[in-house]
Amino acid sequence: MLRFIIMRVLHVIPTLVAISVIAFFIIQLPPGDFLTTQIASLEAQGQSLDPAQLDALRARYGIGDPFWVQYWKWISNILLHGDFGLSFQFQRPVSALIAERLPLTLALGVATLLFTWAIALPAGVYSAMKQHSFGDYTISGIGFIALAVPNFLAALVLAYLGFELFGQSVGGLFSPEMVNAPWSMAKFVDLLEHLWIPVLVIGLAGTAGVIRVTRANMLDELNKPYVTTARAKGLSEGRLVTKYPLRIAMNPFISTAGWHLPSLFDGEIIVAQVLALSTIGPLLLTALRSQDMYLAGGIILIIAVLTVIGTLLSDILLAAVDPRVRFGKA
Amino acid sequence: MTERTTVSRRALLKFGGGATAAVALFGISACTGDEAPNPFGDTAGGDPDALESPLLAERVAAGELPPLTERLPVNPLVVEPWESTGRFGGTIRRAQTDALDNGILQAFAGVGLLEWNKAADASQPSLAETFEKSDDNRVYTFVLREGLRWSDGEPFTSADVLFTVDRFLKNDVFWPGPPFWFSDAGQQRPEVETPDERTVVITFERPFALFEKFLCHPAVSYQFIKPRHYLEQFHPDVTDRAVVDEAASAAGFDSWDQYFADRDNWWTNPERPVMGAFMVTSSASGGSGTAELERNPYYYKTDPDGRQLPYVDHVQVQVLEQDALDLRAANGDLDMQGHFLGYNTTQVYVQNAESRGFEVLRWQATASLLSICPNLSHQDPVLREVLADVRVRAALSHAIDREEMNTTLLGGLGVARHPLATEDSDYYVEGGGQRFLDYDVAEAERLLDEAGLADRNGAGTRLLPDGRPFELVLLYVANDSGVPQTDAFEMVRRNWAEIGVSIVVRPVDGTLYTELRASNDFDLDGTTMPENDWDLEPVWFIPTASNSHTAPGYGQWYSSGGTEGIEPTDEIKQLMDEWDALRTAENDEARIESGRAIMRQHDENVYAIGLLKLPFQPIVVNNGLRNVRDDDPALSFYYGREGISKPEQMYFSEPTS
Repeated sequence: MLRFIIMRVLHVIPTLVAISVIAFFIIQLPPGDFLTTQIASLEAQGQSLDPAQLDALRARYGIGDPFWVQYWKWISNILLHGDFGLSFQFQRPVSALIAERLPLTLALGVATLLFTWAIALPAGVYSAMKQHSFGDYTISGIGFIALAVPNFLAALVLAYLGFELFGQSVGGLFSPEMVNAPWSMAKFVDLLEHLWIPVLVIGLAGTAGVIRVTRANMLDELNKPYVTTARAKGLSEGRLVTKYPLRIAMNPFISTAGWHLPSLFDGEIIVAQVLALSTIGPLLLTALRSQDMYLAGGIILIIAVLTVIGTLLSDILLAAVDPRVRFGKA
Repeated sequence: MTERTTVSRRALLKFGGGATAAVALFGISACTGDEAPNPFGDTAGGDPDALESPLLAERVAAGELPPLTERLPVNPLVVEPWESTGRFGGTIRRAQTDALDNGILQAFAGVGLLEWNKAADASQPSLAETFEKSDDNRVYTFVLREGLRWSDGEPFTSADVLFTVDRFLKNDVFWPGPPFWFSDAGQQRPEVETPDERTVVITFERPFALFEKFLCHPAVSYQFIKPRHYLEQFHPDVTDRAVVDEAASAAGFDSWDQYFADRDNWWTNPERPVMGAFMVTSSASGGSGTAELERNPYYYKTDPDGRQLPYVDHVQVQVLEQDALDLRAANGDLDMQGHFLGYNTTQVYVQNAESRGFEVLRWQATASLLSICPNLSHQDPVLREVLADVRVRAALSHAIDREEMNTTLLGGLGVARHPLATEDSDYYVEGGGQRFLDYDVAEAERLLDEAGLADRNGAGTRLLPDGRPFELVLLYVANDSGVPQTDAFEMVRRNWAEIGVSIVVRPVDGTLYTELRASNDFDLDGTTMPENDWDLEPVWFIPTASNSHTAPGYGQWYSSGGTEGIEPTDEIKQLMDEWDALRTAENDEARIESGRAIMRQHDENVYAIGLLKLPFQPIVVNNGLRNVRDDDPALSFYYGREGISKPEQMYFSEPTS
């Protein structure tokens, strides 16, 4: 087991190096740089940037440096000092920008995950136990519709309904009065009032998948002899289902738990963007759009690292549960 | 949020379910509930005769602030209110799409030695009490008001202006070349002298006719006003280099100038003292994405009754996506906003205005005229020659059916003209912008034939003199907040196909657009253009640099003094000469005369082919907010956008906070 873990961890290192180079490279691919974006946005507002000022800015930001110099400066600072560099556009350390948005991003991610599971697991179990019933078809039908509707569209529709029916302030995780207020019960309630739209939108889309997997796994288990035996021995139906088949049906969720790490971190970029949530996703999008490469690179690197770590955790978990995995090529 | 408790997995699952249900319930019940309590406290209105905001009176009573008489200058600037004098209190709620855009400060808290008068056609003293310029536009003398103070209570003197000029505007790290708004035609920055605490004398080597205008321009004027007492500690010319470097690296910056720029940023650094009506107390680049502004207790303006402005205590700015911003505006969640609102959403605003308690005003939209600029300095010599022919440009203009475009895209409300100064401008020329406007295919064909493009290929496309088909690419940035560009250009494509000119319509990202233009790599530039005040930003009308919209190659030649780029034709050189004459004019008559000459040349030659202009720019205003201009001023960058309505004198009839 130890050998497996060590081998697996060793594999992670080159993967991370490759990811960091590729991430940084891709961010630099589009024509122009951060300053070109700035000029473009200034021009869109009816002004132009002084060529003299432009030269000064290029020098200040070190934008003229070749790719490898910029990459080395970036990665060595991260590895040696834990310093993710400075965001061009915010003129603040990248780590501070991410740290500020992390709590709400995690809150959204966790709330969504819980919402998905709270809806999908019971629905999947019910669907399996009453296979081919009216309820089963209804659940599956709704699940597929939720999966098929694009997230951003659902977000827009809900935001519009909130505006049209309830006169609610659209966008953001707080009301304007509360957004910069210190934490209090009132602010927490205000957060809940705004959190339900993104949770509903993101959660529903994920629900369909969980329902189908649960349903399929349950169906596999429900016809096995041990279930029949237990039923013959007079075990109540509710106890019977929760005791064994459900546990086994949960296995895929436990072994893929690691994969939720990156999705908790990015907080569903498009929905968050549409609803103007102050999570990390929109930060990444603005960084990419304005070619703010240290900020974009930092976020992408963290997401990549979390994905790799999540996969590693899942693998180890799986290896712990299933000895056959350990003896394969790690 | 940071507390951690241990819970079993089962309990967590139970809680999760409960919380989700609670979220859903709260969500639904909350929507029908009343407005959330106000966190700013209830200090609204107060005694109508009070000379200062109750918010500040409290602080004076608590001993945190000196009394009002010590905070105001001896001779404050008196602002005539638009309708009536107001009362103190309230929060103006605004939104924007870009966290870094500091336009709100230029609009609501602009500051300078001079400022625009109400009509925005001349300067008036602002921080300066008096202002004089020499007869030849070389020497500018300002006497500051006595007793001006920064928002932290420190005195504002001529030393602050001197520091700004010597340590910043003349510093080669910040400005490798002189800024165009602070250098004469010889690229020389002026000498600045401060004979006493209140006097500033700025002397240019050559006449600089635009300097007074630049000092009124809210995007320029504030750059002369920097707090010496605060910024000195970040500048190695004043403070020990080692100390400055250490502070910069401790804050995570690579060099001192990055840190200085960061500390000097009045939009992102709440610690920086300001002179404007409002100061930022929490920045939009923080975690909440919402900026909070608070009144400056030392602001130097009063109303005619001697009450210290601004009337309003707070401004809040949320950073939102365009859709969310539009919905907020339509919901009455924005109290005073024009910038960032699109013309196309006007209908939604109007439909909801009455029921949600706001009004939609119509201001003039500037930079809203959609045009096509042929690249006069094209890299291809054949195309360059063809596009330089006025008959070709006139033919292209005649071939556009603007009436159909107007009916289809703007309901017939749009204005068809070429981009030239309007009646409101000094540079207006009689009848300007009306040439070649009528839809006349036969005339267009005749002009093209005459220009030597009579031959056609099998597809009906005209042939260039060297035998290649006359095919062009129209480059533009897709942005449909004004005239729907994509639809308009598509109509142009069909119109031009009729006369045998084939174009490809190519929408690109803003960054690529800027790159292609700067490298002189385009045929036609589809752009919105300002018409007035172009002398402050000449890129659309005179090729002065490689960011020119009409001839970047010539612009580069001009800015590099003839060492790079493409040498212009005599015709374009004439335009450049007039521009030089305008910049160095010794008096306003000469400046205006040169400006009109430039406009006349544009009028006769249609360097930019105008399509349509928006009839107005929607402004949403809360019904309770008074003193907002309801005539039709221009929502223009050059006047600080909403700043033309002098926001410091706006007030809420019933302030809620």
